[in-house]
Amino acid sequence: MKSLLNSALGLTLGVAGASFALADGHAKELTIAIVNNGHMINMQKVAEAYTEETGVKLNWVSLEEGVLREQVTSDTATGGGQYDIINIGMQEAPIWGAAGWIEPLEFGAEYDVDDMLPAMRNGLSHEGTLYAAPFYGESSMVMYRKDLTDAAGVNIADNDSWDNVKAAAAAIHDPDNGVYGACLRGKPGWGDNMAFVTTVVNSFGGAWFDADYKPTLESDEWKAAINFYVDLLGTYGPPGSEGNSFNEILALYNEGKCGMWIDATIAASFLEVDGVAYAQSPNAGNPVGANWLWAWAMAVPAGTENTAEAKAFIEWATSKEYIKAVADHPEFGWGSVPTGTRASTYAYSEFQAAAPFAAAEMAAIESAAPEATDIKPYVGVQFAAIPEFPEVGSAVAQEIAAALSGAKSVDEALAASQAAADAIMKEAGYY
Amino acid sequence: MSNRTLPRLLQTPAVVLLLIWMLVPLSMTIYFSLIRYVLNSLRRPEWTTPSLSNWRGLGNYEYVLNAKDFWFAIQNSVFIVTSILVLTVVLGLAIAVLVNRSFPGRGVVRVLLISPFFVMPAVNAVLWINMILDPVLGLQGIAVGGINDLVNGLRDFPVLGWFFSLWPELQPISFRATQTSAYAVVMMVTWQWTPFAVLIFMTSLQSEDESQKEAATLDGASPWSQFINLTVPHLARPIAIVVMIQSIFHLSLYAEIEIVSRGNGNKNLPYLIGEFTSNNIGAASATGIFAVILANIIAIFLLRMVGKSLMD
Repeated sequence: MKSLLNSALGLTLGVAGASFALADGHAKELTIAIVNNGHMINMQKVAEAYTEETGVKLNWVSLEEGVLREQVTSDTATGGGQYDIINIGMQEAPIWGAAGWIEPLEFGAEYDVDDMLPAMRNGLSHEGTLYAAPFYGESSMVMYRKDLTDAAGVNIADNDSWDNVKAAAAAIHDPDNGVYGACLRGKPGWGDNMAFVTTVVNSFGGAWFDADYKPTLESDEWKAAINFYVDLLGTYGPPGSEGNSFNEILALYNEGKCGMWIDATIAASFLEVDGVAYAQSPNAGNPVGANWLWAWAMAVPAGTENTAEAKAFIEWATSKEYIKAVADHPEFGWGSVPTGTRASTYAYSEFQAAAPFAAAEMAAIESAAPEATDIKPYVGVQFAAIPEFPEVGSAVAQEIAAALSGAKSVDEALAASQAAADAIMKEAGYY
Repeated sequence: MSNRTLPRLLQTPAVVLLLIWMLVPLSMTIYFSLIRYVLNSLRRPEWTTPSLSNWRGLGNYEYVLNAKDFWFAIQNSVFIVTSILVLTVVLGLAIAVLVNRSFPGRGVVRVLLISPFFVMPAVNAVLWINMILDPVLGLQGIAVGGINDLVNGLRDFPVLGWFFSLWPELQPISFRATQTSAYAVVMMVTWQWTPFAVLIFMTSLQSEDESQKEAATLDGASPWSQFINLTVPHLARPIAIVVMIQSIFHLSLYAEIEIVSRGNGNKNLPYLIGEFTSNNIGAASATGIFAVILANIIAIFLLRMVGKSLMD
């Protein structure tokens, strides 16, 4: 018994000693929470060179988008300090910066912050201060099967009208042979179906809130947009669309089941079917357009003790050298570089050759305007950069999915959405 | 020192630890549910730190009671839990009685029967919804497409063709839709938890009195009446245990609901709490208190039931 006690005591002391040595030694460690998207997964390999060079050990925590958001929000809001670097999106960056949850970022001249695409920089800043550095950025566009549209004798133009797009979907819709006219997001979630639905609403001239932050979900624009969306996806979409988001549709598309897909530009680099062509998102006449704007960015939570090391890593991971490092990496190449962040990336001819979608992507990103306008008081294209938006967005997302399932009419779903959104905004003290 | 003091003293650390374990989180939840507390607010920054000056009384409870899906979540919780309980107990009884006989390969069959229970809930949900139930790429989609093709082919035959031309084209069902997502969850959880019921019933079947059964057979009782009058009463206690343990687990289902439909047409109180925690901690805590109340109501019934069968 005594020897057991002794060894237990020794073990405890040993462990305590070890952790003490770790905290004290100069071999620094950074814990990085990332979203489990392709580019971020690749970063883990590319960053091995960074560890060799600087001796900073990197611990990766790779999480699914929704889980990441939950984990990172609670850790950051309570100053938990579990992570040194976090992956956040464009919805969070400005409001978290305003709340003081994340550190402002300033980089050296070599970093060339002016090379960053202006839409990205604006979307990740609060009152002119950059709070998160974009790792990769995206907009949305139409990806359609040129072979199918040619065979059907239809055409999809840049910024086409929604009516033309619907006619094209009808022409290529052939469910008996397993091809569905239009694959669109339907899975409930403010970052899932609502990302696409909001771009449709934007293109019809609608917005989430009016100038007093009262929700406007029962407006004529919303009704027209949702009716159009439910009709298009319900008639020419694959069965089970209410469960489809990016990954599900990507699988369908690569199985050759989709004639047309309107989604994130990043999807273009994962498409494996032949005959894909790109067009700028359709528009119903609104000058702001129907492209969304999103970035996965890296930020330093205020609770970490390794601020300097964390900033240094972000500076490296979002730099021009990083893009080159991915391009030169034996396992990757120009086709796998993170896009949508820097103008210089698009200037490489090797990149243009490896990414046929590059021009369309750059045009889509440049045309997206996240700033507040006369139509909407909030920052953000397919979301509103306010802390209450995830709650509002999720509630509405479920109603839209119910309308798509046919469990509710569009009017019923929008009435329920409006009531829920109104309650949340009132609760949050907006009016 | 009376002869009771020492045991009590020895128990104290454990009891005190358990009390702290339970009381601290519970009282913090009650406290948060009575104040305004949000993680982030641009309009009312004072609400972001929990303090008594943000006292709100029962306001959070009122807000939650009027929230969009509160009553639906309670109804749906009860629906999911009771469906799963009925299905697992009935299936579990049937399977346990079947594999209780001796037959070649019994060991392998038993191991295979238990294995779904060791699949993680999230994996279970992903597996079912994507690989089995998906209307296009899943087993369901492929099966429906195959049957339709087969029927189409048979239509060309002279006499048979007329019969098959009356058959309607089958449509795959989307199990992520508002109308069906609750059934998908019931299905996958039943698949996962039936083995648990089988396991418990199987072990207690082994203690069944064989001589009683022999006597019943000699008296001419049919296998069915033996099952109803001997086996089921013998299993009353394990059934009660299965029901109790499963209700505790299934009232807090989360992964399956999140993965199948993200709360579209299918929600329970834990899911509602999850939705509030994106910002509104006060409302989330109030929902948590409602969940505690609901769990207690059910627990009182269950404890009475189990207590009764344990007393007998």
